[in-house]
Amino acid sequence: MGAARTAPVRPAWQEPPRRITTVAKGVVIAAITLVMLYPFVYVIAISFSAADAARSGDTLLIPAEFSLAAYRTIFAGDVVTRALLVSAGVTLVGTLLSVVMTVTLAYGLTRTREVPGSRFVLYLVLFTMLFGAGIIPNYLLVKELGLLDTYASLILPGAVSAFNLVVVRNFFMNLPQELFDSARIDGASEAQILWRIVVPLSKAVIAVIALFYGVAYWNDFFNAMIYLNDSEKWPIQLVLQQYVLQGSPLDQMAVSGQVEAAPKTIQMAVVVVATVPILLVYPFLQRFFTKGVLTGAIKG
Amino acid sequence: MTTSRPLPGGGLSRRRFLGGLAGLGAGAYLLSSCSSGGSGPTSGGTAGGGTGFSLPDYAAPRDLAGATISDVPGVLPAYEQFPLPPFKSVAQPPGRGGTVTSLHPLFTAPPDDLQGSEVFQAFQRGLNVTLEPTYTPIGSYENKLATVLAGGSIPDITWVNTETVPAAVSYFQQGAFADLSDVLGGDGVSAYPNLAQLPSYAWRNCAVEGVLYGVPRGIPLLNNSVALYRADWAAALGFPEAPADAAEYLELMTAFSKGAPRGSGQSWGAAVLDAGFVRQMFRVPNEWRLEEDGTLTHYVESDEYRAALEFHLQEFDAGVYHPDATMGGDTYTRAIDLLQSGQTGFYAGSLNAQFALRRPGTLTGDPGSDVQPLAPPGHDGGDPLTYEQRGYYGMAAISAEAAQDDARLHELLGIVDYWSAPFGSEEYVLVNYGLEGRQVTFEDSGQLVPVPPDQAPAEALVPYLTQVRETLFYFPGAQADAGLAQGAMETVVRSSAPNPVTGLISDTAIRQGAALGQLNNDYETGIVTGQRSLDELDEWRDRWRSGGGDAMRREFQDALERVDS
Repeated sequence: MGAARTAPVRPAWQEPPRRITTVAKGVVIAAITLVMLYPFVYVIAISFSAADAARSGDTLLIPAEFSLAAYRTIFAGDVVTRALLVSAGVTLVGTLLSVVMTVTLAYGLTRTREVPGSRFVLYLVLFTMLFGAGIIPNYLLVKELGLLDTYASLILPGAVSAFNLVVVRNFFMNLPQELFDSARIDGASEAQILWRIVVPLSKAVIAVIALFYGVAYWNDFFNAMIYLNDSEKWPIQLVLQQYVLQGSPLDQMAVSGQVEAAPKTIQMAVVVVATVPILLVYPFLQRFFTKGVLTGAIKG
Repeated sequence: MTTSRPLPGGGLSRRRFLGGLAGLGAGAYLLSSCSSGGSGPTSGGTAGGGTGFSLPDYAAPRDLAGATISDVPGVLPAYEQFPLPPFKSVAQPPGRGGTVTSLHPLFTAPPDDLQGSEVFQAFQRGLNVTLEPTYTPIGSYENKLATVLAGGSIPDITWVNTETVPAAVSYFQQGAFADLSDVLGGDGVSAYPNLAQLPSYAWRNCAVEGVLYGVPRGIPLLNNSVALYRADWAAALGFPEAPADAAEYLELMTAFSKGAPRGSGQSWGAAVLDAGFVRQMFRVPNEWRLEEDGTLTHYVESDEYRAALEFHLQEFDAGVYHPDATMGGDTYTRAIDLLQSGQTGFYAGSLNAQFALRRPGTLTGDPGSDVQPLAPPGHDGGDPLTYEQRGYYGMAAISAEAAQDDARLHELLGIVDYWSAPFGSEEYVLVNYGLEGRQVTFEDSGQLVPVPPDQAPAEALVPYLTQVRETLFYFPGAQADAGLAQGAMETVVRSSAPNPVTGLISDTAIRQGAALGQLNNDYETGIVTGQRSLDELDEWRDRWRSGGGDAMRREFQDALERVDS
């Protein structure tokens, strides 16, 4: 018979939570979730409401009078459809280009010993995180490059984000040096090392920056507003801005008589159309998200 | 003070422009109200209080059947029918077959397939040019204009509004746009008959310290003095007459909220704080007041404003306002929805929109309602002080580079002349509505009938520039409302006063104007909603003065002296 065994002492945070604590946490989280979700639910409900029902304030969670009229209206012309295609194209091409440029640049900047001047380039990149040129110098640059009124003007000015570059570079710096050494012993070129070793090991961080880039391209309206003259090239966010914000200046700024704001149902329908596509991307990249950001951000 | 005299004509070098941008805020600022002097559409003379260019000679509009021309200066003409057939206001296409670039604000969804639009094609044929318009969302217009000018590729015709883009005054001074004072001043405008019919107040007020840089888009001189209210509710609640003083006004608005005029449905007086309306009731200065000793008093500093604030606070405490009245976001759209769905009984908006959109919208949204115009009563039963404003919303400026060629300048002004076609003309129909059979039809009885938007072809219309639709009252489908609007305007014009510093330049205002406006708005909303004490008014005034108010006063007083001399 041995000595009486004492239960191991567990720190407080390892104690099983009390039921009331669990319930309280659940309630708080549910409340926060509801607060976050309600605007989306409201927007969707309004978009599916009849215009009169939306105007009267009867629609709160579900449409007081269900109607697809708003969606029929916005898809009746080509404006929204074309803008969606423009946004999709810019987002796909831009994201692909940005990821390629970021990954290759980040890899180059990890080889500070092999690549002459790489540290200087790194400082140049970091400089842009601290100081922006401003609207007009950027505009002049785009103009001199002959990119005004082209889709390229929506992509190239923001093709490489310094923040994303730092995240990816730090991720790469954390990869075991032995992998690189053994690859070189086996005769791999730098391109092969990047493509066959670094990229497969960096799927998480690449997925995350792809998401960052994708969301940024999808949501961007400012570049389009500044660089595009042809409104038929407008992306969905610029169209959305017109629909949603147009009502405000009409009475406020004393523009009278001639133009009327779109009904709230149409405004909200455009919000839904502009939001849902990018929301659909999140679930597919969610599993990479935390790992990718944290690994790249805190190690290096 | 770095105010400089305008540089007439001449091209704009990039260096000069960028230098000017570096000093944005150190340029100039044009206040957003109106100048002293006569307010009538026919008043002539000179701009800028006696100096500067000669106002374009005013040409009276054609004598049309169904027209009512008010004998009260400053009041817009009312038309109860459309002349059929429409007359031609432009004898020959003004263009020479080339290309014309232009920059316009966009208030609606972007146009769909511009070149495929029959309206746009007809417009180009009428002008005899290939028009290449660039549309910019109104909310982003300032940035777009700055970049376009910085890039040196200034469109031939640009809509410029110093109200929404205060820095535009700098662009004028740096020579980006042509000085039109000599070309259009006096009888020079007679070469452009449609422009000659634009209201004189719009010409005068759009001048920058006496220099004319564009053709104004005219709007009513008193644009925010006539409210709409639910007369049917008022009658049912025991107020058969419009309120005659502040006490009656408060009683009526409180009854709208508390008297259950909708029966079981909740209602409120108003959905937006009606600060401008209340200020006019209490005779608060129209932004500034010129005292007898030549000094300026800002409205925030006036005793009248304190009284208006006290009253406004009473309104809020009485539950006059909808709970969302102080929420951010698109307050105006929300307010319009509440009015038109019969939940609020009062709305103060811009004059033409009140009758073209809000009144019919409410009659449709809440059938059986009776919506009537309401002028601000004097708080003590006397006259109110109604506000003359700018009387124009932006102007069509001509690129200085294009204007170096006289023939080109004449062509471009001819195009703007077409854009400004007067009521009753073929061109007016085209630039304001579209094409007969597509966007409008005509009734034999003499009415223009717009085709409902959901039945009209979804095609681009003529871009927003200098259409004159807001310089007259004509409301298809509600013809009698033209007289109603005109009568309301006659009422408010009689007790109106201008802002004494309109057209004058203050460097501080352009630097600090937005911040000071926000300061005033924050304090006002805070006091009215009870989040701040009325006792903080002195602190507010001190902050306003030290934050740039005193400097603005000095600069405007200097400018007044300069103009007087």
